[in-house]
Amino acid sequence: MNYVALRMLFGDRAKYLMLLCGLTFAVMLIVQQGSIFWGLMIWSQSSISNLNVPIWVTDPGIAQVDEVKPIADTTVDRVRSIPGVEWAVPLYKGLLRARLANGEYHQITLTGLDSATLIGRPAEVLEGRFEDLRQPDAVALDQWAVERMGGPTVITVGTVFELNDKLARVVAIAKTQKTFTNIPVVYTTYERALRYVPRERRTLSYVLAKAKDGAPVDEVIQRIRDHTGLGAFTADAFGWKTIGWVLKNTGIGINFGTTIFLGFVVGMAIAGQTFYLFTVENLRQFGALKAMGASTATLARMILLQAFTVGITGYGVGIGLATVFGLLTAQEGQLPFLETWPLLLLVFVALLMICALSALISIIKLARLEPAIVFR
Amino acid sequence: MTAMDGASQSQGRTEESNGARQAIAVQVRGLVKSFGSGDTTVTVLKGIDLDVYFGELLLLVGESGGGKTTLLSAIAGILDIDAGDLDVLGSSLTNMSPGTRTRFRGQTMGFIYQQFNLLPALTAAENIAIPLLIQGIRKNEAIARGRLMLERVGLGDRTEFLPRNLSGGQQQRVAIARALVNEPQLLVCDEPTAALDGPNGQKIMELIRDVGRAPDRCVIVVTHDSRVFQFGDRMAELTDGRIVGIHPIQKEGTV
Repeated sequence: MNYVALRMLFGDRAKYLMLLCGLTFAVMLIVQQGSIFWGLMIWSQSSISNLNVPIWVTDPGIAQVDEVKPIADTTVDRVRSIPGVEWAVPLYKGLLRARLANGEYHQITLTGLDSATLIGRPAEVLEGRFEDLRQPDAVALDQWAVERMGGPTVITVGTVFELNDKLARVVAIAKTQKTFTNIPVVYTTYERALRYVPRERRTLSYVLAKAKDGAPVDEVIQRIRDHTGLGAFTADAFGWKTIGWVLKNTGIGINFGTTIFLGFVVGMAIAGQTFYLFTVENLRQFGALKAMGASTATLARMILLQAFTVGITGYGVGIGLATVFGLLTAQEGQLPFLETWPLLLLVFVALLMICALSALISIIKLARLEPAIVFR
Repeated sequence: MTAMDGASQSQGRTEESNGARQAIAVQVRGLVKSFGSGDTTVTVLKGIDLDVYFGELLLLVGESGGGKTTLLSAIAGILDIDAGDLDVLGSSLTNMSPGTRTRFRGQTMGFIYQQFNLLPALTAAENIAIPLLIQGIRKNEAIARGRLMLERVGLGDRTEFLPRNLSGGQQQRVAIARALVNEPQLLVCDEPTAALDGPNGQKIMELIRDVGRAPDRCVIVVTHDSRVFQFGDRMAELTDGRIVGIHPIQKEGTV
């Protein structure tokens, strides 16, 4: 009877297309919004992932990576002395204003890296040499800084600008992942960063560390916490902590969640209503099938096959359209768009739920259908 | 076959039925069926007794609302009854579970409806194959048998036609082929000519008589169309939920 079910489905082209459009729209909306949402969440912890270090030591009350709470300068040595720690280096992170030669001011995030090792440097350099940071007044920018500060005609390798009235000379432009706020990131050495910023009693933002090979990372982190009384996290855990903060303290989660929920509801409503209409309009035919010996279970399987066939087709088309949207509008990192397999799996499960619930309405109707309807 | 021949044969079978040598296909005793509840209860069948024999074509006739279709539905096992006994083809429908009854219908009965009830998306041959598909027969074999049945009802050149491309008479022929494709022992027909004009109605009844009736099969037809009475062997008349008479049909030209 599967053949009959599919012929019935494809035979009513108008309803089939309406069903397909409804489910495609639902899938596209959920995938597109979900991908943008996840892209934004990934951007919110770019300050962590761009530095690519395994352990972050922080103030114990830290909420998220961009809310810097300085810690004692001696922390670096204390962390280095903890068994299981291979290395530990200082990191400065703070907001500052840059004044360009054309008189424009731009707020920037100043990132001061350990001068000896440059640990935390971006992996890919687009122009110049990152090692040149050790030269006098040298700074490096991320590519978003170039874009935000006027483009390559205004700022490039060799350009000079001021940070807090002190000279900064661009020696490299690095490729990084965009941050949530998209504030330009200026890299320099830790010591030079402290020269750029006004003096404060505490200047150390974070300590970046790595556990020795073979040492259990969780145990090392716990040891750091116990020995220093500070916070210590793996990069992943700190990233999730930051994402959690963004979700809790901004309307992003509710906004995107509402849209995704609406996509689910709209898909459900269209699919459910169309399926129900499809069933009601074919009630005599279904009654005839029952009279001819088709059991309710057989009819239920037919309805489910129809639902899942159109659902899986809609899933493919919807994901295709969302992906094309992502490729067209989110290329080069202009928009956050991250289509991940867990999201696709989640959407698939949601779609199966939509199909199953839509089919269920029809199945209930058919289960109650008396085949005697065919004689009325 | 002439009307005279048909009438003579019909009368012969009816006499045999009355002579108790003919096996009973359907036996109805004390059948009661009501609809609604409380003050709005309407008793549609009020103690029906009826025997239908193998090899005969029984017409159920009577005024509208008299209970013909309800009786047919009960005999076909697609409507639960309130009281009475219903033996069909040697099995008690009264004691059957709904699932067993559904399977029983699929294996032993064929249905012909007033509105044909063909699936619009399926070709004529595919529509005929449906009862076989329900029985679990493979698609290709079922459709091949559907094509053969179409040839039997004179539509061998319409196998790939969709119902919308067939006339009303042709659609009813397809429905008849569908009813017969699994060789049912009981053929139940509800107003099979009601949606057809006079000549087409005659042709359809001829077809039902010719291909539907066989020694190991019986046909029950609900109709109010007096023009097709000549095709029946016996006629049971229902009025107000009771059978008021069962008569052998006197055909034109018979004595």
